[in-house]
Amino acid sequence: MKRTSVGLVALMLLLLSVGLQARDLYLGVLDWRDAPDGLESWQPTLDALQQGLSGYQLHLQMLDLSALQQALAVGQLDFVITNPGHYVELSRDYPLAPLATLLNPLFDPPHQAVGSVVLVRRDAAIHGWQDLRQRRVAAVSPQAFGGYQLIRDQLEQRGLNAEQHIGEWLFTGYPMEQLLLLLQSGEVDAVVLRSCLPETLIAEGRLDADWWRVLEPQKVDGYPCQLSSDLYPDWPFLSVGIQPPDLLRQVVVALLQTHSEQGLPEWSAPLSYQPVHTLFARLRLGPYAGFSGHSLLALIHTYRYFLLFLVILFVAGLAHYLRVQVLIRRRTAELQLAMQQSRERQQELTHLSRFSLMGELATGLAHELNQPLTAIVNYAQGSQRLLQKLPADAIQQQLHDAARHMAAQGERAAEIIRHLRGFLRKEVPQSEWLDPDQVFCEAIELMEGRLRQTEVKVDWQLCGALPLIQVSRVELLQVLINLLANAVDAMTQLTAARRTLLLSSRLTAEGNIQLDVEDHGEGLNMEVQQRLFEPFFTTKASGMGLGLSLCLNLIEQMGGQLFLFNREMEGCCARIQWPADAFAGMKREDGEHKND
Amino acid sequence: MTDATAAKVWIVDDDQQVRESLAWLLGTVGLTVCLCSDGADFLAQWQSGQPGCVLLDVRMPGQSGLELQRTLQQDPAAPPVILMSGHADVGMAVKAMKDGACDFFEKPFNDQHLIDALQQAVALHQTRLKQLHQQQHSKQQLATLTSREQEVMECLVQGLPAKLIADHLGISPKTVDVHRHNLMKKLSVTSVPELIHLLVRTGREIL
Repeated sequence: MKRTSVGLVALMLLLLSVGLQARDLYLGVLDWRDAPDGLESWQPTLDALQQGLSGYQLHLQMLDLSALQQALAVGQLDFVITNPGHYVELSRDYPLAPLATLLNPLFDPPHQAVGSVVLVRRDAAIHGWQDLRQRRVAAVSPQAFGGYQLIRDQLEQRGLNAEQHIGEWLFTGYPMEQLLLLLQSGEVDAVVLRSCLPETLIAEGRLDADWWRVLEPQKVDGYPCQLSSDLYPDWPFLSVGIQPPDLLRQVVVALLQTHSEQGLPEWSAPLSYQPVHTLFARLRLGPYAGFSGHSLLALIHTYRYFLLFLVILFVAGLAHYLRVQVLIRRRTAELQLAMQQSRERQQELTHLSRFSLMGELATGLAHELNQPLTAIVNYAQGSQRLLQKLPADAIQQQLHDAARHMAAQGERAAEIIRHLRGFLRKEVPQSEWLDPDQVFCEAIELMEGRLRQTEVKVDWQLCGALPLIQVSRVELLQVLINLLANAVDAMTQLTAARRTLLLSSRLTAEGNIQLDVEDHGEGLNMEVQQRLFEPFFTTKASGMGLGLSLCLNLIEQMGGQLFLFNREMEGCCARIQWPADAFAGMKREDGEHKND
Repeated sequence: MTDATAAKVWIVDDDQQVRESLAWLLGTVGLTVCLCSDGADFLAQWQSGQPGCVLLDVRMPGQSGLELQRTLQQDPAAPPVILMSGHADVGMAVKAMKDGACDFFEKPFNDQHLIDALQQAVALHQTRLKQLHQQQHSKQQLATLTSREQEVMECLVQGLPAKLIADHLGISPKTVDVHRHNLMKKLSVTSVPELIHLLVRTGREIL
């Protein structure tokens, strides 16, 4: 035996030893029926070849699928005849070249010869591919081309997975005839055969035609056998590896010279086996096993649940991502707003602390100022006394008057300071019974400087006979001063002549006590009106926005109400109101003592 | 020594301008003033028994006005105290009055009210000093008595007749008379009521 890999050496040896010694050639043929007559049916081909070859001794070996592959693996074969599917599968691992294709003169076209047929029992309730669902199906081998593989292709072309759709595959191996026994005995529900096998067996008298039928029969014009699949080219004659060109030529010539006699094999020039390749690619078999990219849809179908899971996962992930993004954006905005607010509040607090520092300073200042004022008053009063001792004349009188004025003004200044000190004093506010009108007047006294500076005139309409209220004097003063300051601020844009503040107090018919501070300013617009009592809301550049919210707090603590509303004509009115029964629960202290 | 013209008003205030303006004002009504910048300054200048009154600022560095007032209270001859404050509050005024201040003024003050109060206080102090002086004199007189004269005096004060005194002391009524005469002379009194009056002035409690 010569190894094909040393074919060149063999050729040289052959040329040297022509006529002296015949070289052995081995032809492997796939034995698909494992029948004793297998060898016989190929004998004419063998004879024809032998005749056409000089100097070669040809040996025919009938081999089954695995044996054939094994023989190729060890380099035992020079030529191979096998089915198209097997050829394509083998071509992945071995250098095979088709030299000729088998012709079946009975067929038209003669090269469309290989197909599969599925048989079921005549009475079986199986009428289409769908009905094979969960059935037991028998075939020779998963590698049988004119059998399992073509049927699988049929199933998959209809979107059915051959493995999952069929309940169970039973692979019996060759010979193929034994499948019929399985079908007849009811062991399986369907069998997959090479097309024309039933016809051949019937002709040979080995099969009755009455108990079975063909599943999904296909009609191909000129094809004499029943079919369940498409048709593919017939078996190829293959050379293995590199053979001497002379030998190849002789083989091809010999093959093409075979003639059809009594239906024996006849050869023609090799056909394209591309349809088989295409089929295998579709089925991902042979050279295309593991070649997944080809049939994306099939892949998607195979992994559809996994893909669906992935898609759901992705969508969920995307949704989560978007949600997180939205949340982050919202939180960021909220955070920014909060930071801005906190910054503003910080500024306000700084401002506020400056104000409170001002209060401290004012307390100290009041004391400091009181001392020189005392000295001034003392001197003025002393001067008065001295002047009285002088003889009374015009100058003495004028100086005396001047000294009196000095003393009076000094005392007035000291009085203002005393009020301021009382206002600024840090004390727990103590409620006392007060006349609201009186507190109103005190507030105006404290505001006097401001009123004069801003040239605001004050109109009074005090009731004069209000019932006493029990509140903290300092706190009520604070509220009133705040309202007065607001009213004054509202009128700074007006001409001096129109800057009039109207202060009024009254006892309503229902018994409510009302204190009104009215101005002639612009009044309140809608936005301002809604946010009036909001802390840190302000319309003034230098304001803190604490005034009114604080006032509201204080007044509510005093059991009263604070309203701000636009006047009918112009300007705004701030009204403090105590309901008639606001102080009903409280008794005047001195009264209680008397009762004791 | 206890001369009305020698009466002084001690002005104790840490503010020089206030001190001087007060001095000027009080000078116009003929009051003699002495200026002190704080409590220590005052204690250095003041001599016990000097008539007058103290015009004291409540708030001062070092010893506060109220503390100085308390210190002065311990001396029976100390001048009366009038407190003044630039930042009067009721609590402070009440405390000062309870501690014996004779008046309380808020700065700036009405001159007439202040002058009236000062003059009253000075007069009060002069009276008190006179009383103290007499008391001192009486005590000195009492100290000159012999022990027997003192025993006789005690009995006299209890209203016992000479006979009972003689029995009680185990001496003759005549001797009692001699002692009685001597002690009356020493104490410059002419009758038993006068004697009792003198003893009361010195702080004696008579049953």
